[in-house]
Amino acid sequence: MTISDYRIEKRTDVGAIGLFMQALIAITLAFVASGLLLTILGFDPVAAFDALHKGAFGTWRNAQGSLIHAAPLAFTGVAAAVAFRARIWSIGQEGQFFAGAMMAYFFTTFLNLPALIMVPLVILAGALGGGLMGGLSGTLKTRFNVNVVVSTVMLNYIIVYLLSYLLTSRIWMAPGEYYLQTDRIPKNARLPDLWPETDLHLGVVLAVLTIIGLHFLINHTTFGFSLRAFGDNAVAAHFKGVAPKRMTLIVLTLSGALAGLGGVVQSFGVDFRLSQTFLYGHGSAGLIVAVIAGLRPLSIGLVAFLFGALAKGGLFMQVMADISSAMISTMQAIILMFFLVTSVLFQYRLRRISQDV
Amino acid sequence: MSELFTQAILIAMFAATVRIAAPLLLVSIGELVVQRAGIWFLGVEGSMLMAAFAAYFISVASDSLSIGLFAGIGMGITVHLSMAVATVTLKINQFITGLGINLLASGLTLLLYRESLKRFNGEVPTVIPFETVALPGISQIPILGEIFFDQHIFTYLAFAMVGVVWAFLYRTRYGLEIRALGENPKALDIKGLSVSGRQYAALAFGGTMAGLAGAVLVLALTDRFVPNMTNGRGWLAIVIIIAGNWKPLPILVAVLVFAFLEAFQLQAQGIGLDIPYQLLLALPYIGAIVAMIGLQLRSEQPAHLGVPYHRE
Repeated sequence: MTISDYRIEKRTDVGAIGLFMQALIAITLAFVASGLLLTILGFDPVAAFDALHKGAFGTWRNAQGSLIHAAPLAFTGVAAAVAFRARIWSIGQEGQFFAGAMMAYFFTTFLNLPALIMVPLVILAGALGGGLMGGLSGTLKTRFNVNVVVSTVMLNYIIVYLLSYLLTSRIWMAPGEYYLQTDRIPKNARLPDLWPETDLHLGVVLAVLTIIGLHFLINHTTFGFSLRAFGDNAVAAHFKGVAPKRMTLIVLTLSGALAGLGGVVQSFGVDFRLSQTFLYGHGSAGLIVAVIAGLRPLSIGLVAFLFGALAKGGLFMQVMADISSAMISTMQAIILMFFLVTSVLFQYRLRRISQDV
Repeated sequence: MSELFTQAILIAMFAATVRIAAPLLLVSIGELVVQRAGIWFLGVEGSMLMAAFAAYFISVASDSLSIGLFAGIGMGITVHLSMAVATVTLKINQFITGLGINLLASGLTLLLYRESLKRFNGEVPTVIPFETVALPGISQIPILGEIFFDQHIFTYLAFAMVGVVWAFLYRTRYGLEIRALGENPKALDIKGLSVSGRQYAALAFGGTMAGLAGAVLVLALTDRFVPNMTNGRGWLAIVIIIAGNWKPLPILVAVLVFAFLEAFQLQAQGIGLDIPYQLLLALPYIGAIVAMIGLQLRSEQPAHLGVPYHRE
C-alpha cells in the first residue's frame, strides 16, 4: 500500500518566476492594506486609486511622466543592488544621490561650455560626486574598519546639511530667492529632450543603458563573478584571489557613482534646480526597488517603472483627492514589508512523498 | 560679571546635556540588550518615531500625559515585537526588515501627521509637558545640583537603567543567557533553553525603552510632535553601542558626549556664535564618524550579531 504524504521543504532558489509571483502578491496585498488605510483616514480608496492610475497611465504624456520618475529610481536601485549583491550593507544611496547632483551643479557654477561638451561633463561629474561619497565610506571601512551602515547613514545626514549651508549662505542661491533652492541650471547643461514636444530626456535612455550594462557586468563578466562570489562567501572568495578590501572599495565607489548619476538625471533632466525637497526620498525608494527586484538589474528596470508610476500617479492623487504625498512613501514601505513576509512563503514548497508500507 | 555669565552658560549647557541625554540613553540601553541577544535591529529610529507619534496623539486625544506615555511605550513594544516576529520566527533578513520599519514609520507618521493637521485646521495642539522634579536636598548643592538633580523623572530613570542593565547582564543568570545568545545561541538551545523566547523578551525590553524614549521626546523635552523629530537619534544609538563596545558604562559615556554636542549646538545658536548653524547641526553625525575612526575596540561585539539562529 502506498501512502501519500506532503512535506514542506526549503527551496534553494526561488527563481525568476517565483520572484515575479511573490512581487505580484506583495503589491496586491499592499494595495489592499493601503486602501484600508485610506478608508480609515476618511478617503474613498476607489476614487484615490482611480486618480493614481489615471495620473500614471491615463494619457501618453502621463505614461511618459511615469518613465521620467522611474529613471532616477533605476539608478538608485542598481546602486543598492550592486552593494547588496556583495553583501555590503550600504544605505548611502540617498546621500550619494545628493552628492552627484551637487558635484554636477558645482561644475555649472564656473564652467559654461557648449551643450555637446557640457552635458557629458555634468554626467561624469555626477558619477564623480556619488563615487567620491561611496569611496569615502569604502575607505572608512577598509582603512579604519568603520561599519558601512553607520558611515553611510551619517553621511546621508551630513550632505543634506551641506546643501542647506550652500543655499542659506547664498553661495548657490540668488539674493532675492525665497525658496531654499539653487538658481536654475543653464540650458546648455540640461539633459536634452529626446524629441521635440516630449519631456522624455536623455536620462531615461541612460537609465536603460545602465540597467543593461549592469546586467552584463554582474552576470557575464569576471568582475561580476568575483562580486557575487564575494557576496556569497567573502572568505572563500578571498582564497580564490578576491581581495576583500579592494572589492569593498570598488563596490562602494561603483554603487555611489550609480546613485550620483541618478542625482544628475533628476536635477539636470527634470527639476533644473537643486533643493532638498526635489532630491529627497530617491535613495530609500531605490533601495526598496532593488530588494523587490531580487537585486537583479533587469527586474530593477521593471520595478523602477512601477515605482515611477506610483510617484507620478501620486502627484495626480494629491491634486484630485487631496491625499498627502506621504501616502506614496508609505505605500512603498508597505509593499516592501509585504514582500518580505511573502518571501517566507516562497522559500518553501510542498512536495508529495510516497511511501510504501 | 562676565565670569558669572560664563558660569551660567556652562551650567545651562551641562544641564541641557543631561536633559538631552535621557532619551538617547534609554534607547541605547534598550538596543544594547537587543544586540546582546544577537539581533541587529536597525529599526530603532522608526520604533522611537512611531512611539513619539503615538504618545503625542494619544495624550492630546485623552488629555492625559500618563496615558500618552503608556501609548508610546505600547507602540515601542509593538514595533519591536513585529521585528521579533519577522526576524526571530520568520527568519527574514534583519538588515532589510529594520530598514523597512524605518521607512514605514517615517512615511506613516508623516502621512498621519499631515492628515490630522487638516482636522486641526492647521493649528497644532500642544501638550503641557512633564515638569522637572528637583530632588529634595541634593538639588540645592551648588552647580552639581543644578546640573544633575533638577531633571525629569525619566532622566533619573535613564541613568538608573544603566546600573540596572549592567547588573542584569553581568550579575544574573538571565543576563548571562542573553549574552550567550549573541555569542553562541546553540549552547542555549542544547541546554533546552528557548532561543526565540529570550530574543522576544530582549526585543520587548528594547521596545519598552525605545517607546519610553520616543514619549520623553514629545512629552518632556518638547510639547508637540514634529515629522521625523527623532532626527537620527535611533541611528546614533547604534553608533553609541559600537563606540561603547557593547558595554553599559562606556555607552553612558558615549551618550553624554553626543548629548553634549547637541547641547553645545543649542547654546552656540543661542549666543550667536559665528559658525554656520548647519555645521553645528551636523556635529553629532560628524562626531559619530570620528568616534568610529578613533575607537577600534570591537572585542565585545556579539559574535552572532545579525545572524539568525537555525536549528540544524
